[in-house]
Amino acid sequence: MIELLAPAGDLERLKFAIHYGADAIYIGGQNYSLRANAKNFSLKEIKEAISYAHSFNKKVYVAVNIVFHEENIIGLDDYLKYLEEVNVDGIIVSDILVIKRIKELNLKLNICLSTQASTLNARNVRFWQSLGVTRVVLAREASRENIKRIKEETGIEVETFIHGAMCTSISGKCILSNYVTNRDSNRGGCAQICRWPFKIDGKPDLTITPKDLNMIPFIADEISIGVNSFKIEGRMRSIYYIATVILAYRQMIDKILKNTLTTKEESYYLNILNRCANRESTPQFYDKLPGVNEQYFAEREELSNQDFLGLVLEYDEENHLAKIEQRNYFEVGYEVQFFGPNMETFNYKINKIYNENKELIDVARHPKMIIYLEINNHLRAMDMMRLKVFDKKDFL
Amino acid sequence: MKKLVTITNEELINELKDKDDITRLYPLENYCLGYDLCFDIKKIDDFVLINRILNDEELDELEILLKDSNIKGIVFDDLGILEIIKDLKVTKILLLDHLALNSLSINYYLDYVDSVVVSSDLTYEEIENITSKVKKDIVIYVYGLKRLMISRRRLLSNYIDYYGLDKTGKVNATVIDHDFIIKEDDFGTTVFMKQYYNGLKLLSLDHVLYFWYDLINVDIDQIKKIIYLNEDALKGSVKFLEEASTYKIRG
Repeated sequence: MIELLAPAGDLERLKFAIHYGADAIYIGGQNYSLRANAKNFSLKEIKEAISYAHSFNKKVYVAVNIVFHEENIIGLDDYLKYLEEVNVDGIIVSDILVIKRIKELNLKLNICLSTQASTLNARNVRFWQSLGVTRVVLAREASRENIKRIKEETGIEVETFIHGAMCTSISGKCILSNYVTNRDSNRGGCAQICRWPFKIDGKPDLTITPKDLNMIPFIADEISIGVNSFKIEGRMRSIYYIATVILAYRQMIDKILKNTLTTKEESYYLNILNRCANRESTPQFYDKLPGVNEQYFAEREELSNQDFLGLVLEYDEENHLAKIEQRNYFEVGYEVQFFGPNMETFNYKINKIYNENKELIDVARHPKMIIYLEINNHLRAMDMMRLKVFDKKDFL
Repeated sequence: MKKLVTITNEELINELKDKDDITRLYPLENYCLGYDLCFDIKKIDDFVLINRILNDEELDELEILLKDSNIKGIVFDDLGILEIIKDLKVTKILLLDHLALNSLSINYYLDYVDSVVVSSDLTYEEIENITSKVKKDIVIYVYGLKRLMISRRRLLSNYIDYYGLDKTGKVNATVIDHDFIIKEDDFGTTVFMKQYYNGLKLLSLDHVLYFWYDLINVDIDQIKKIIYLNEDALKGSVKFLEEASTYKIRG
């Protein structure tokens, strides 16, 4: 089975990831994961997340992938025992310490080697396999040939990133953040210095920022060489981002497996994905080294958008009324789209907006205000309303 | 006190040849990133440095190179190398830039190698604490051009191509009062801290197999002052030794 692996920064996002088609979700606890300053999951929430995911037959992996300083070791054993107790499906690690402790404590935890370990060859994989690692997230620098040989020689489960932000550096091999801000990149505090302009005397600023990754053109090929899990980056991303990206890849992977994905559809999905992230994305490393087109330069304009207009809370079948929580400004006359995992995306022109008291209003301007729209198409809770920017029929 | 000195300057080869307390470390041609001077394996009669992440094809070739070599030791980053050197009777030292940060992990790695280079990202107290707990002697980085980031990307070439600038493989750059040297070669881009790392204070520590001097872009006279006299000839930085990195930002 090909796994679509989604990020989730909290329980709400985990639920959206599952609802929108993820097969598995990776999360971080309050400690030991590489998003130290994110909300993350408490112990209780980890248990709840696993229980929720398992009820849908989905998996949860927990990132325990910081590189440990001496001061971080206290509490690790208890945490690992807890993760076993709550039936986590696997943990993602980069420090040998965690792997060895799992074995010494005789815990039955599946171990997935993090991309922070920069694994690019089969011999390296065999080293980790000998310690009990059963899955490896390869270095983002892995080419098709690298992945193929690793898979052929080791048989290990292989996970690769297919979408999201990229490190400029080889993962784990960067402490620019430590140097400039004292925030420890390998313990989850990365200040993303690689996104800042580097001043050079008498020359344009040097930016070393990569564009985001998308592997749309190569997913079928990756499946053919044995990649087991496709990972989406972004534990700090919003529910809108998670829903949009997971749905797009869910639909693409399903079509690829049925051999029905067309180039035009790929183009449609790519537009949706780039718009959602406000960033351009390209394949990287799989077929060639990143060049000029895979790197951002100083003139880049990042145009933020407020496309996510509302979240469907309920749908009244009898009166064809959708109860919607506002997420960004919209008004009568807006052309919007509704999308969700169990429906075809459809366009809709807003002619009337009702407020919570079912009175007509012209504008939904307050964050999280409740409004109602008259819509004939059936909707479900957790479907979303966005500004209509791309129309699929234009790509067919 | 044993010193490990990277050969970054041709003159250093003869200068250090008969010094009993100094082990020469040669960056290997095609297997190192960030060095202006690298060496053919045939010319290496002491320790060899391999500081890149490698793919299997490169490891296949490396295995052949090492089999017929005269090296006495190897300092390497990629754990895949372990498999190809397992039968070589040489000193094996693991260099895990930024990843060897606690005594337990280092001790686990020491089951597979003779020594580990402790990360120079740590404070003096952290390094001292590690030396007191390791089960074999370790290697400590004491002076050099410290690598802050390595990338497989051609960051400078792309920049030069984009703006139509004159070709160069090295630039000086600044981000909010922090100075860097950015260098690109065939295998990617390295960002160095411009001010040299000064860990001379660490020379007093015990349980050390080698103190490592990694003096890129330094002339021979200054190198001699640093390695013979332990003089801070380049007015190096003690930032990493004195300022602990922050694990979490408390709101």
